[in-house]
Amino acid sequence: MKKYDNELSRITAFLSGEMTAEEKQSFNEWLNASDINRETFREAKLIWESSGIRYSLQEKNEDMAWSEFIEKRDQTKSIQFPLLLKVAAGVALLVTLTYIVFRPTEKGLIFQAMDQVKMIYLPDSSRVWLNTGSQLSWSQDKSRNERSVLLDGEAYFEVAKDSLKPFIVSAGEAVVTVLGTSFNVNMDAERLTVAVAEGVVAVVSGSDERVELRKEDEAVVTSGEIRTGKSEIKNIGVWRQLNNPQAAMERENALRFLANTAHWKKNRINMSVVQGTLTNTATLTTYSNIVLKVTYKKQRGDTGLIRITLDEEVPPGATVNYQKRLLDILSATEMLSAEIESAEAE
Amino acid sequence: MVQEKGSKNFEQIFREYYKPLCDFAYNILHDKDLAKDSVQEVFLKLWKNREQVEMGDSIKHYLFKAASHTCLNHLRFNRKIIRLENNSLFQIAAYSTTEEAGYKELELRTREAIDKLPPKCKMVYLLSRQEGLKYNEIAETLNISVKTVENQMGIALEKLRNDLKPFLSREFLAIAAFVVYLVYEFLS
Repeated sequence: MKKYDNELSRITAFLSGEMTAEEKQSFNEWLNASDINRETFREAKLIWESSGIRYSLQEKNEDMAWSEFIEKRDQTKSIQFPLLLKVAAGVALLVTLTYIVFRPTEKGLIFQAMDQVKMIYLPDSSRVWLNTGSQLSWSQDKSRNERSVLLDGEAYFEVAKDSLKPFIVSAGEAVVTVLGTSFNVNMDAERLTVAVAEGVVAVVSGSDERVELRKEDEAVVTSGEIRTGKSEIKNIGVWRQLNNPQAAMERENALRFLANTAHWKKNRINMSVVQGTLTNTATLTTYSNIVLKVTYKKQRGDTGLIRITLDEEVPPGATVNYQKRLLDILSATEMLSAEIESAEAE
Repeated sequence: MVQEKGSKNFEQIFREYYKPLCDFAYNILHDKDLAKDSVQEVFLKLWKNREQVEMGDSIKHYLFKAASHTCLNHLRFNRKIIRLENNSLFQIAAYSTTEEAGYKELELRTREAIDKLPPKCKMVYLLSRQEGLKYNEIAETLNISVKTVENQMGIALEKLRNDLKPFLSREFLAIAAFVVYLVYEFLS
Protein backbone atom coordinates (compact mmCIF):
# COMPACT_ATOMS: atom_id res chain seq x y z
CA MET A 1 0.00 0.00 0.00
CA LYS A 2 1.45 3.31 -1.07
CA LYS A 3 2.64 5.64 1.63
CA TYR A 4 2.36 9.40 1.23
CA ASP A 5 4.61 11.75 3.17
CA ASN A 6 1.74 13.92 4.27
CA GLU A 7 -1.96 14.53 3.88
CA LEU A 8 -1.71 17.18 1.22
CA SER A 9 0.52 15.08 -1.05
CA ARG A 10 -2.11 12.43 -0.75
CA ILE A 11 -4.95 14.80 -1.50
CA THR A 12 -3.17 16.27 -4.50
CA ALA A 13 -2.43 12.82 -5.83
CA PHE A 14 -6.12 12.13 -5.60
CA LEU A 15 -7.11 15.40 -7.26
CA SER A 16 -4.69 14.94 -10.14
CA GLY A 17 -5.95 11.46 -10.85
CA GLU A 18 -2.78 9.63 -9.86
CA MET A 19 -4.45 7.09 -7.62
CA THR A 20 -5.35 3.53 -8.40
CA ALA A 21 -8.86 2.31 -7.61
CA GLU A 22 -7.54 0.71 -4.47
CA GLU A 23 -5.85 3.89 -3.33
CA LYS A 24 -9.01 5.87 -4.00
CA GLN A 25 -10.91 3.47 -1.83
CA SER A 26 -8.44 3.98 0.98
CA PHE A 27 -8.67 7.71 0.41
CA ASN A 28 -12.44 7.71 0.78
CA GLU A 29 -12.08 5.89 4.04
CA TRP A 30 -9.72 8.58 5.22
CA LEU A 31 -12.25 11.24 4.20
CA ASN A 32 -15.03 9.59 6.12
CA ALA A 33 -12.87 9.25 9.19
CA SER A 34 -13.21 12.84 10.47
CA ASP A 35 -14.59 16.32 9.90
CA ILE A 36 -11.10 17.77 9.84
CA ASN A 37 -10.13 15.49 7.00
CA ARG A 38 -13.15 16.51 5.04
CA GLU A 39 -12.55 20.19 5.69
CA THR A 40 -8.92 19.90 4.59
CA PHE A 41 -10.10 18.18 1.47
CA ARG A 42 -12.76 20.80 0.80
CA GLU A 43 -10.21 23.57 0.98
CA ALA A 44 -7.70 21.73 -1.16
CA LYS A 45 -10.33 20.92 -3.75
CA LEU A 46 -11.44 24.54 -3.81
CA ILE A 47 -7.90 25.71 -4.45
CA TRP A 48 -7.43 23.04 -7.08
CA GLU A 49 -10.54 24.13 -8.89
CA SER A 50 -9.58 27.79 -8.65
CA SER A 51 -6.17 27.26 -10.18
CA GLY A 52 -7.35 27.63 -13.73
CA ILE A 53 -6.15 31.12 -14.64
CA ARG A 54 -3.57 30.98 -17.42
CA TYR A 55 -1.70 33.94 -18.68
CA SER A 56 -1.39 34.24 -22.40
CA LEU A 57 1.19 36.37 -24.16
CA GLN A 58 -0.89 36.88 -27.28
CA GLU A 59 1.99 37.52 -29.60
CA LYS A 60 0.72 38.97 -32.83
CA ASN A 61 3.16 37.41 -35.20
CA GLU A 62 6.41 35.62 -35.17
CA ASP A 63 8.18 37.42 -38.01
CA MET A 64 9.99 39.79 -35.73
CA ALA A 65 10.84 36.94 -33.42
CA TRP A 66 12.26 34.96 -36.30
CA SER A 67 14.53 37.87 -37.31
CA GLU A 68 15.63 38.22 -33.73
CA PHE A 69 16.40 34.52 -33.63
CA ILE A 70 18.51 34.68 -36.79
CA GLU A 71 20.43 37.58 -35.32
CA LYS A 72 21.15 35.76 -32.10
CA ARG A 73 22.01 32.57 -33.86
CA ASP A 74 24.61 34.27 -36.01
CA GLN A 75 25.99 36.24 -33.08
CA THR A 76 27.03 33.16 -31.15
CA LYS A 77 29.26 32.11 -34.00
CA SER A 78 31.25 35.35 -33.67
CA ILE A 79 35.00 35.44 -33.23
CA GLN A 80 36.49 35.21 -29.78
CA PHE A 81 38.74 38.05 -28.77
CA PRO A 82 41.21 38.68 -26.00
CA LEU A 83 39.85 40.27 -22.91
CA LEU A 84 41.35 42.78 -20.51
CA LEU A 85 40.18 42.14 -16.99
CA LYS A 86 39.88 44.41 -14.05
CA VAL A 87 42.66 43.50 -11.64
CA ALA A 88 43.33 44.24 -8.00
CA ALA A 89 46.41 46.34 -7.25
CA GLY A 90 49.61 44.33 -7.14
CA VAL A 91 48.31 41.27 -8.91
CA ALA A 92 49.92 40.36 -12.21
CA LEU A 93 47.85 40.92 -15.31
CA LEU A 94 46.37 37.84 -16.83
CA VAL A 95 48.15 36.73 -19.99
CA THR A 96 46.94 35.93 -23.51
CA LEU A 97 43.36 34.89 -23.37
CA THR A 98 42.61 33.46 -26.73
CA TYR A 99 39.87 31.21 -25.51
CA ILE A 100 37.68 33.43 -23.41
CA VAL A 101 34.30 34.36 -24.82
CA PHE A 102 32.86 37.49 -23.28
CA ARG A 103 29.39 38.43 -24.39
CA PRO A 104 27.58 41.32 -22.76
CA THR A 105 23.84 40.83 -22.94
CA GLU A 106 20.96 43.01 -21.83
CA LYS A 107 20.77 41.13 -18.60
CA GLY A 108 24.44 40.79 -17.67
CA LEU A 109 27.71 39.09 -18.52
CA ILE A 110 28.50 35.59 -19.67
CA PHE A 111 31.87 33.93 -19.20
CA GLN A 112 33.05 30.66 -20.69
CA ALA A 113 36.12 28.53 -20.19
CA MET A 114 36.98 26.24 -23.09
CA ASP A 115 39.99 23.98 -22.66
CA GLN A 116 41.81 26.08 -20.10
CA VAL A 117 41.02 27.17 -16.58
CA LYS A 118 39.99 30.81 -16.56
CA MET A 119 40.21 33.29 -13.74
CA ILE A 120 37.66 36.07 -13.84
CA TYR A 121 37.00 39.20 -11.80
CA LEU A 122 33.32 39.95 -11.42
CA PRO A 123 32.14 43.56 -11.29
CA ASP A 124 31.82 43.38 -7.51
CA SER A 125 35.51 42.39 -7.20
CA SER A 126 34.72 38.77 -6.45
CA ARG A 127 37.10 36.38 -8.12
CA VAL A 128 36.05 33.20 -9.90
CA TRP A 129 38.04 30.38 -11.46
CA LEU A 130 36.13 28.52 -14.16
CA ASN A 131 37.07 24.94 -14.92
CA THR A 132 37.41 23.76 -18.50
CA GLY A 133 34.13 23.49 -20.36
CA SER A 134 32.24 25.57 -17.82
CA GLN A 135 30.12 28.65 -18.17
CA LEU A 136 29.07 31.40 -15.81
CA SER A 137 26.49 34.19 -16.16
CA TRP A 138 26.49 37.27 -13.97
CA SER A 139 23.39 39.35 -13.50
CA GLN A 140 23.91 43.09 -13.44
CA ASP A 141 20.46 44.22 -12.38
CA LYS A 142 21.23 46.95 -9.86
CA SER A 143 17.66 47.24 -8.70
CA ARG A 144 17.82 43.92 -6.93
CA ASN A 145 19.61 43.63 -3.66
CA GLU A 146 21.59 40.59 -4.69
CA ARG A 147 24.58 39.55 -6.70
CA SER A 148 23.49 36.64 -8.89
CA VAL A 149 25.44 34.09 -10.79
CA LEU A 150 24.29 31.12 -12.87
CA LEU A 151 26.80 28.29 -13.18
CA ASP A 152 27.02 25.42 -15.61
CA GLY A 153 30.02 23.18 -14.79
CA GLU A 154 32.59 23.84 -12.07
CA ALA A 155 33.89 27.02 -10.49
CA TYR A 156 35.81 28.15 -7.43
CA PHE A 157 34.55 31.37 -5.92
CA GLU A 158 36.29 33.99 -3.78
CA VAL A 159 33.45 36.28 -2.95
CA ALA A 160 34.06 39.89 -1.96
CA LYS A 161 32.35 40.72 1.30
CA ASP A 162 29.18 42.75 1.04
CA SER A 163 26.86 42.14 3.93
CA LEU A 164 24.12 44.14 2.27
CA LYS A 165 24.05 42.08 -0.88
CA PRO A 166 24.08 38.31 -0.62
CA PHE A 167 25.96 36.51 -3.38
CA ILE A 168 23.83 33.84 -4.97
CA VAL A 169 25.00 30.98 -7.16
CA SER A 170 22.36 29.01 -9.02
CA ALA A 171 23.53 25.71 -10.41
CA GLY A 172 21.24 22.94 -11.59
CA GLU A 173 18.88 22.11 -8.79
CA ALA A 174 20.42 24.14 -6.03
CA VAL A 175 20.96 27.72 -4.96
CA VAL A 176 24.01 28.73 -2.92
CA THR A 177 23.90 31.96 -0.89
CA VAL A 178 26.96 33.51 0.69
CA LEU A 179 27.99 36.77 2.26
CA GLY A 180 31.71 36.68 1.65
CA THR A 181 33.74 33.55 1.43
CA SER A 182 35.65 30.97 -0.65
CA PHE A 183 34.07 27.82 -1.94
CA ASN A 184 33.89 25.39 -4.84
CA VAL A 185 30.77 24.46 -6.78
CA ASN A 186 30.72 21.52 -9.15
CA MET A 187 27.66 20.58 -11.16
CA ASP A 188 27.74 17.49 -13.32
CA ALA A 189 25.10 15.25 -14.82
CA GLU A 190 24.44 13.36 -11.61
CA ARG A 191 25.06 15.66 -8.71
CA LEU A 192 25.95 19.05 -7.44
CA THR A 193 28.82 19.37 -4.95
CA VAL A 194 29.59 22.42 -2.84
CA ALA A 195 32.75 22.54 -0.70
CA VAL A 196 33.68 25.47 1.53
CA ALA A 197 37.23 26.70 2.05
CA GLU A 198 36.33 29.70 4.14
CA GLY A 199 33.25 31.46 5.44
CA VAL A 200 29.66 30.31 5.64
CA VAL A 201 27.59 29.12 2.73
CA ALA A 202 23.92 28.16 2.58
CA VAL A 203 22.81 25.58 0.05
CA VAL A 204 19.14 25.21 -0.84
CA SER A 205 18.12 22.27 -2.98
CA GLY A 206 15.42 22.11 -5.58
CA SER A 207 13.04 20.63 -3.02
CA ASP A 208 13.79 23.50 -0.63
CA GLU A 209 15.94 21.50 1.75
CA ARG A 210 18.48 23.85 3.32
CA VAL A 211 21.90 23.25 4.77
CA GLU A 212 24.58 25.58 6.16
CA LEU A 213 28.19 24.78 5.43
CA ARG A 214 31.32 26.01 7.12
CA LYS A 215 35.02 25.62 6.52
CA GLU A 216 35.87 22.18 5.17
CA ASP A 217 32.22 21.16 4.99
CA GLU A 218 30.93 19.70 1.80
CA ALA A 219 27.40 19.07 0.52
CA VAL A 220 26.33 16.75 -2.27
CA VAL A 221 22.92 17.43 -3.79
CA THR A 222 21.20 14.70 -5.80
CA SER A 223 17.56 14.56 -6.85
CA GLY A 224 16.70 17.20 -4.32
CA GLU A 225 18.35 15.46 -1.38
CA ILE A 226 21.35 16.94 0.37
CA ARG A 227 24.07 14.89 2.06
CA THR A 228 26.84 16.61 3.99
CA GLY A 229 30.39 15.51 4.65
CA LYS A 230 33.93 16.78 5.04
CA SER A 231 36.50 17.95 2.54
CA GLU A 232 40.09 18.95 3.24
CA ILE A 233 40.99 22.48 2.27
CA LYS A 234 43.97 21.43 0.23
CA ASN A 235 41.67 19.42 -2.05
CA ILE A 236 39.07 22.13 -2.56
CA GLY A 237 39.51 23.75 -5.94
CA VAL A 238 42.73 21.86 -6.59
CA TRP A 239 41.71 21.52 -10.27
CA ARG A 240 42.69 25.16 -10.68
CA GLN A 241 46.31 24.07 -10.85
CA LEU A 242 45.70 21.95 -13.95
CA ASN A 243 45.03 23.20 -17.47
CA ASN A 244 45.80 26.63 -16.18
CA PRO A 245 48.58 28.51 -17.96
CA GLN A 246 48.49 31.18 -15.29
CA ALA A 247 49.18 28.64 -12.56
CA ALA A 248 51.98 27.05 -14.58
CA MET A 249 53.60 30.40 -15.10
CA GLU A 250 53.37 31.20 -11.41
CA ARG A 251 55.15 28.00 -10.51
CA GLU A 252 57.97 28.63 -12.92
CA ASN A 253 58.47 32.33 -12.32
CA ALA A 254 58.35 32.69 -8.58
CA LEU A 255 60.41 35.84 -8.64
CA ARG A 256 57.83 37.64 -10.70
CA PHE A 257 55.13 37.11 -8.13
CA LEU A 258 56.90 37.96 -4.95
CA ALA A 259 56.86 41.66 -4.20
CA ASN A 260 59.62 42.80 -1.89
CA THR A 261 59.91 45.91 0.21
CA ALA A 262 63.16 46.23 2.09
CA HIS A 263 64.57 48.83 4.49
CA TRP A 264 67.89 49.18 6.07
CA LYS A 265 68.51 51.07 9.23
CA LYS A 266 70.89 51.30 12.11
CA ASN A 267 69.32 50.56 15.45
CA ARG A 268 70.15 52.20 18.75
CA ILE A 269 73.27 50.22 19.29
CA ASN A 270 74.32 50.89 15.73
CA MET A 271 73.62 47.47 14.40
CA SER A 272 72.36 47.30 10.86
CA VAL A 273 68.93 45.86 10.60
CA VAL A 274 67.55 44.71 7.28
CA GLN A 275 63.84 44.33 7.41
CA GLY A 276 60.98 44.17 5.02
CA THR A 277 57.97 42.37 3.73
CA LEU A 278 57.35 39.88 1.01
CA THR A 279 53.93 39.72 -0.63
CA ASN A 280 52.79 36.85 -2.77
CA THR A 281 50.91 38.33 -5.67
CA ALA A 282 50.21 35.03 -7.41
CA THR A 283 46.65 33.76 -7.69
CA LEU A 284 47.08 30.11 -6.78
CA THR A 285 50.66 29.24 -5.96
CA THR A 286 52.19 29.10 -2.50
CA TYR A 287 55.89 29.79 -2.25
CA SER A 288 58.31 28.60 0.39
CA ASN A 289 62.04 28.49 1.08
CA ILE A 290 62.40 31.99 -0.24
CA VAL A 291 65.98 33.19 -0.31
CA LEU A 292 66.81 36.89 -0.25
CA LYS A 293 70.18 38.08 -1.30
CA VAL A 294 71.25 41.30 0.39
CA THR A 295 74.28 43.10 -0.96
CA TYR A 296 75.79 45.85 1.12
CA LYS A 297 78.69 48.20 1.14
CA LYS A 298 81.23 47.85 3.92
CA GLN A 299 83.76 50.33 5.04
CA ARG A 300 86.56 50.89 2.62
CA GLY A 301 84.23 50.21 -0.28
CA ASP A 302 84.09 46.44 -0.07
CA THR A 303 80.83 44.78 -0.71
CA GLY A 304 79.43 42.07 1.41
CA LEU A 305 76.69 39.60 0.88
CA ILE A 306 74.25 38.01 3.22
CA ARG A 307 71.40 35.68 2.56
CA ILE A 308 68.11 35.57 4.37
CA THR A 309 66.07 32.42 4.06
CA LEU A 310 62.41 32.34 4.90
CA ASP A 311 61.27 28.81 5.18
CA GLU A 312 57.66 29.51 6.00
CA GLU A 313 54.98 29.03 3.37
CA VAL A 314 53.52 32.11 1.81
CA PRO A 315 50.11 31.48 0.29
CA PRO A 316 48.62 33.63 -2.47
CA GLY A 317 47.79 37.12 -1.27
CA ALA A 318 49.71 36.73 1.98
CA THR A 319 52.53 38.91 3.28
CA VAL A 320 55.40 37.85 5.52
CA ASN A 321 57.86 39.97 7.45
CA TYR A 322 61.55 39.34 7.67
CA GLN A 323 64.38 40.83 9.61
CA LYS A 324 68.10 40.27 9.91
CA ARG A 325 70.71 41.93 12.02
CA LEU A 326 74.30 42.37 11.03
CA LEU A 327 77.20 42.30 13.46
CA ASP A 328 78.51 45.64 12.36
CA ILE A 329 78.19 47.84 15.38
CA LEU A 330 81.40 49.57 14.73
CA SER A 331 81.12 50.19 11.04
CA ALA A 332 79.08 52.35 8.75
CA THR A 333 77.42 50.04 6.33
CA GLU A 334 74.70 50.70 3.88
CA MET A 335 72.53 48.46 1.80
CA LEU A 336 72.97 48.23 -1.89
CA SER A 337 70.24 45.88 -2.83
CA ALA A 338 67.96 43.30 -1.44
CA GLU A 339 66.69 40.92 -4.06
CA ILE A 340 64.81 37.70 -4.06
CA GLU A 341 67.20 35.11 -5.31
CA SER A 342 65.07 32.00 -5.36
CA ALA A 343 61.87 30.48 -4.13
CA GLU A 344 60.18 27.13 -4.30
CA ALA A 345 56.66 26.66 -5.50
CA GLU A 346 54.64 23.81 -4.15
CA MET B 1 20.39 22.14 -44.45
CA VAL B 2 19.40 18.72 -45.67
CA GLN B 3 15.70 18.14 -45.37
CA GLU B 4 14.36 14.68 -44.79
CA LYS B 5 11.08 13.63 -46.25
CA GLY B 6 8.27 14.21 -43.80
CA SER B 7 10.32 16.36 -41.47
CA LYS B 8 9.99 20.12 -41.38
CA ASN B 9 12.78 22.60 -41.68
CA PHE B 10 13.89 24.77 -38.81
CA GLU B 11 11.98 27.87 -39.77
CA GLN B 12 8.73 25.97 -40.11
CA ILE B 13 9.16 24.55 -36.66
CA PHE B 14 9.97 27.97 -35.26
CA ARG B 15 6.84 29.51 -36.76
CA GLU B 16 4.65 26.65 -35.65
CA TYR B 17 5.73 26.57 -32.04
CA TYR B 18 6.76 30.13 -31.30
CA LYS B 19 3.39 31.38 -30.03
CA PRO B 20 2.40 28.33 -27.97
CA LEU B 21 5.83 28.28 -26.35
CA CYS B 22 5.55 31.99 -25.56
CA ASP B 23 2.21 31.39 -23.90
CA PHE B 24 3.64 28.50 -21.94
CA ALA B 25 6.66 30.52 -20.79
CA TYR B 26 4.58 33.59 -20.01
CA ASN B 27 2.20 31.55 -17.92
CA ILE B 28 5.11 30.40 -15.80
CA LEU B 29 7.21 33.55 -15.68
CA HIS B 30 4.55 36.26 -16.00
CA ASP B 31 7.12 38.56 -17.55
CA LYS B 32 6.70 39.28 -21.25
CA ASP B 33 10.33 40.01 -22.09
CA LEU B 34 11.64 37.14 -20.05
CA ALA B 35 9.15 34.79 -21.67
CA LYS B 36 10.16 35.81 -25.17
CA ASP B 37 13.84 35.60 -24.26
CA SER B 38 13.29 32.12 -22.87
CA VAL B 39 11.68 30.96 -26.08
CA GLN B 40 14.57 32.38 -28.07
CA GLU B 41 16.91 30.42 -25.78
CA VAL B 42 14.97 27.25 -26.45
CA PHE B 43 15.22 27.64 -30.19
CA LEU B 44 18.88 28.56 -29.99
CA LYS B 45 19.48 25.39 -28.06
CA LEU B 46 17.53 23.42 -30.64
CA TRP B 47 19.62 24.99 -33.35
CA LYS B 48 22.80 24.00 -31.56
CA ASN B 49 21.56 20.43 -31.29
CA ARG B 50 19.82 20.23 -34.61
CA GLU B 51 21.98 17.36 -35.83
CA GLN B 52 20.95 15.18 -32.92
CA VAL B 53 17.27 16.03 -32.80
CA GLU B 54 14.66 14.64 -35.14
CA MET B 55 12.55 17.40 -36.59
CA GLY B 56 9.38 15.35 -36.71
CA ASP B 57 6.44 15.00 -34.36
CA SER B 58 8.57 14.33 -31.34
CA ILE B 59 9.96 17.84 -31.62
CA LYS B 60 7.04 19.06 -29.56
CA HIS B 61 8.18 17.05 -26.58
CA TYR B 62 11.75 18.28 -26.97
CA LEU B 63 10.67 21.92 -27.15
CA PHE B 64 8.30 21.55 -24.24
CA LYS B 65 10.94 19.95 -22.08
CA ALA B 66 13.58 22.52 -23.02
CA ALA B 67 11.11 25.32 -22.31
CA SER B 68 10.34 23.84 -18.89
CA HIS B 69 14.02 23.74 -18.00
CA THR B 70 14.68 27.24 -19.26
CA CYS B 71 11.70 28.63 -17.39
CA LEU B 72 12.71 26.86 -14.22
CA ASN B 73 16.19 28.35 -14.48
CA HIS B 74 14.76 31.79 -14.99
CA LEU B 75 12.41 31.38 -12.07
CA ARG B 76 15.41 30.73 -9.89
CA PHE B 77 17.74 33.21 -11.47
CA ASN B 78 15.31 36.10 -11.59
CA ARG B 79 14.05 36.00 -8.07
CA LYS B 80 11.44 38.67 -7.88
CA ILE B 81 7.92 38.52 -6.59
CA ILE B 82 5.70 38.33 -9.60
CA ARG B 83 2.60 40.46 -9.43
CA LEU B 84 -0.50 40.10 -11.50
CA GLU B 85 -0.30 42.44 -14.45
CA ASN B 86 -4.03 42.88 -14.78
CA ASN B 87 -6.11 42.72 -11.68
CA SER B 88 -9.28 44.50 -10.82
CA LEU B 89 -12.61 43.78 -9.25
CA PHE B 90 -14.20 45.17 -12.34
CA GLN B 91 -13.40 41.87 -13.97
CA ILE B 92 -15.54 40.18 -11.37
CA ALA B 93 -18.51 42.41 -11.97
CA ALA B 94 -18.52 41.29 -15.55
CA TYR B 95 -19.69 37.80 -14.68
CA SER B 96 -23.34 37.05 -14.95
CA THR B 97 -23.98 34.77 -12.03
CA THR B 98 -23.19 35.88 -8.52
CA GLU B 99 -22.00 32.47 -7.48
CA GLU B 100 -19.47 32.51 -10.28
CA ALA B 101 -18.32 35.93 -9.11
CA GLY B 102 -17.29 34.73 -5.69
CA TYR B 103 -15.23 32.06 -7.30
CA LYS B 104 -13.58 34.47 -9.71
CA GLU B 105 -12.15 36.49 -6.82
CA LEU B 106 -10.70 33.29 -5.45
CA GLU B 107 -9.28 32.40 -8.83
CA LEU B 108 -7.42 35.66 -9.05
CA ARG B 109 -6.10 35.30 -5.54
CA THR B 110 -5.08 31.75 -6.22
CA ARG B 111 -3.21 32.72 -9.34
CA GLU B 112 -1.43 35.40 -7.35
CA ALA B 113 -0.50 32.82 -4.72
CA ILE B 114 0.73 30.37 -7.35
CA ASP B 115 3.10 33.02 -8.63
CA LYS B 116 4.64 33.23 -5.18
CA LEU B 117 5.47 29.54 -4.94
CA PRO B 118 9.15 28.54 -4.94
CA PRO B 119 10.48 27.84 -8.46
CA LYS B 120 10.43 24.07 -8.64
CA CYS B 121 7.22 23.83 -6.66
CA LYS B 122 5.49 26.25 -9.02
CA MET B 123 6.73 24.38 -12.06
CA VAL B 124 5.47 21.06 -10.78
CA TYR B 125 2.10 22.47 -9.80
CA LEU B 126 1.50 24.22 -13.11
CA LEU B 127 2.59 21.22 -15.14
CA SER B 128 0.17 19.06 -13.24
CA ARG B 129 -2.80 21.29 -12.78
CA GLN B 130 -2.68 23.33 -15.97
CA GLU B 131 -0.74 21.28 -18.48
CA GLY B 132 -2.40 18.10 -17.29
CA LEU B 133 0.81 16.11 -17.07
CA LYS B 134 0.92 12.90 -15.07
CA TYR B 135 3.43 12.67 -12.25
CA ASN B 136 5.78 10.43 -14.17
CA GLU B 137 5.65 12.82 -17.12
CA ILE B 138 6.50 15.76 -14.87
CA ALA B 139 9.35 13.75 -13.38
CA GLU B 140 10.73 13.00 -16.82
CA THR B 141 10.38 16.59 -17.98
CA LEU B 142 12.19 18.08 -15.02
CA ASN B 143 14.64 15.24 -14.36
CA ILE B 144 13.40 14.63 -10.85
CA SER B 145 11.89 11.62 -9.12
CA VAL B 146 8.17 10.89 -8.96
CA LYS B 147 8.45 11.04 -5.20
CA THR B 148 9.75 14.58 -5.44
CA VAL B 149 6.85 15.50 -7.71
CA GLU B 150 4.44 14.05 -5.18
CA ASN B 151 6.02 15.98 -2.34
CA GLN B 152 6.20 19.20 -4.30
CA MET B 153 2.50 18.96 -5.06
CA GLY B 154 1.84 18.60 -1.34
CA ILE B 155 4.08 21.57 -0.58
CA ALA B 156 2.28 23.62 -3.21
CA LEU B 157 -1.12 22.96 -1.70
CA GLU B 158 0.17 23.68 1.76
CA LYS B 159 1.58 27.06 0.78
CA LEU B 160 -1.47 27.94 -1.25
CA ARG B 161 -3.72 27.02 1.60
CA ASN B 162 -1.75 29.26 3.95
CA ASP B 163 -1.88 32.17 1.55
CA LEU B 164 -5.53 31.74 0.72
CA LYS B 165 -6.92 30.88 4.15
CA PRO B 166 -9.16 33.93 4.46
CA PHE B 167 -10.65 33.34 1.04
CA LEU B 168 -11.53 29.72 1.47
CA SER B 169 -14.17 30.04 4.11
CA ARG B 170 -17.74 29.55 3.03
CA GLU B 171 -18.64 32.92 4.55
CA PHE B 172 -16.17 34.73 2.37
CA LEU B 173 -17.54 33.19 -0.78
CA ALA B 174 -21.06 34.15 0.18
CA ILE B 175 -20.16 37.74 1.04
CA ALA B 176 -18.07 38.19 -2.11
CA ALA B 177 -20.95 36.95 -4.16
CA PHE B 178 -23.30 39.31 -2.38
CA VAL B 179 -21.09 42.36 -2.91
CA VAL B 180 -20.85 41.65 -6.59
CA TYR B 181 -24.57 41.19 -6.77
CA LEU B 182 -24.98 44.70 -5.38
CA VAL B 183 -22.51 46.15 -7.84
CA TYR B 184 -24.23 44.37 -10.67
CA GLU B 185 -27.58 45.68 -9.61
CA PHE B 186 -26.19 49.17 -9.28
CA LEU B 187 -24.68 49.15 -12.74
CA SER B 188 -27.65 47.78 -14.56
